[in-house]
Amino acid sequence: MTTHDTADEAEKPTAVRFGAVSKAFGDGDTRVWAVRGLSFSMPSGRFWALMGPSGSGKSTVLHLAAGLTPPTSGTVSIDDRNISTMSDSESAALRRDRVGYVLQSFNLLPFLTAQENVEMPLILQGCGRDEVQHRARTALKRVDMLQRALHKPTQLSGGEQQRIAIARALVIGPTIILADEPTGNLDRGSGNSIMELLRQVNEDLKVTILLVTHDPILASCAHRVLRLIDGRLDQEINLEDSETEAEDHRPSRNGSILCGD
Amino acid sequence: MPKGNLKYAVLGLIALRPNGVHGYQLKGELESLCDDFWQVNYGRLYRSLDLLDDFGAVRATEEVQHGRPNKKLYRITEKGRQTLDDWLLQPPGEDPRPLRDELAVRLLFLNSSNVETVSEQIKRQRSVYITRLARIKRRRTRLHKARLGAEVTDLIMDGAEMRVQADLAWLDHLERKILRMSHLH
Repeated sequence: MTTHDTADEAEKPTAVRFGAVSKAFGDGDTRVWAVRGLSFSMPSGRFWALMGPSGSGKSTVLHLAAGLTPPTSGTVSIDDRNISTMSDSESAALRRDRVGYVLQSFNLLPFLTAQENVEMPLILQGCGRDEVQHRARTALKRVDMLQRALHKPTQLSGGEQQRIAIARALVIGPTIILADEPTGNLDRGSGNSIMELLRQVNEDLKVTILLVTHDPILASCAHRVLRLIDGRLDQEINLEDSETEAEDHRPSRNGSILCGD
Repeated sequence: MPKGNLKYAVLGLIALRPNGVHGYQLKGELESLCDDFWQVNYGRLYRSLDLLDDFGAVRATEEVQHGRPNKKLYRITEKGRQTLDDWLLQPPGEDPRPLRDELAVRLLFLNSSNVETVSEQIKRQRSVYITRLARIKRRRTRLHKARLGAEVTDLIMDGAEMRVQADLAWLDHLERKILRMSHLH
């Protein structure tokens, strides 16, 4: 496995690739450019965060990556397949089978139980009844929500609803999860536990995660942070370096404020 | 007991270990917990331990080791518990955290010709802060694993995070203002 990896290092699969992507909304005088010539290449199995002030284009980038909206120019690839040139049905199939989506507002169907919500993507894929139930329960277990399987969304806390939404994203066995402010509606404690869950999903299941957030504390969970301004890449911060550097390497401080000796 | 909060932090950590603790264990824990406030080195740590011992707040027992110097095991005493309790009830000092950022000083010399340079420095500083947040997160995880009074250590880590968060908010604010300035020129 190791030797294989080394040999293939140069051709590591790419989960998301943007090639000079621009996206405009509206036309004529009211045309607004949300994304301007954005290029990046995100290897499989990574956890990246997209940051930036509101209106910087970060959610549009996520919609483009999900194939929910086509780029005005440039190419978007998921799993090394160019979705910009796919037919609608092809890209819908890729989304259904490969991409999990987690939103700020959870978007659970209120008249279904937690488990039925998680089963939904598999039913859309046409899986058999036994398989649907088995996989849904495995996903619920993964997010530690098996004990809530029969609850309706309104009977669950915000944090629990988001866990169900993550189970629904996981149930298809996605290669990538796109998460748009997944803790935006949660208090600090629930937010932290959702971030911890996403980090585990990335680490244990090797699912690629692209997270949109305005919160630097959440972004700092990622391997890399991309900061957007006005639809352009403003700054890239690699946080993996910080794991290997010595823990005591930090700006010098006089340290005498809280310490009298 | 003579002043100095580091000594109380050391005493507090010893108090969490009724079976005693070695100096090198304390160093690791102290670094994880307090690295926002203090540079912890063995010299300072052992000076604090000696002072605590002299004062009678801790008792050190030697463990004989073959072929290596003896290790000292530190335990809190009754007097030490009392000292710690008294200190916890004292009102905190009033020294505010000074603005130590070089960036703030450089801003004094900002003009239209060096806006670009300052923007670059803001970016570099942002990267430093976000890296620091990632480090705080790892320290939090380490402290959880060490099962060291989880609720309290969590609060300390929350405080460290919030300070960095405030610094980052200030950088964003600065950037907006500076970009506006550069548009004017």
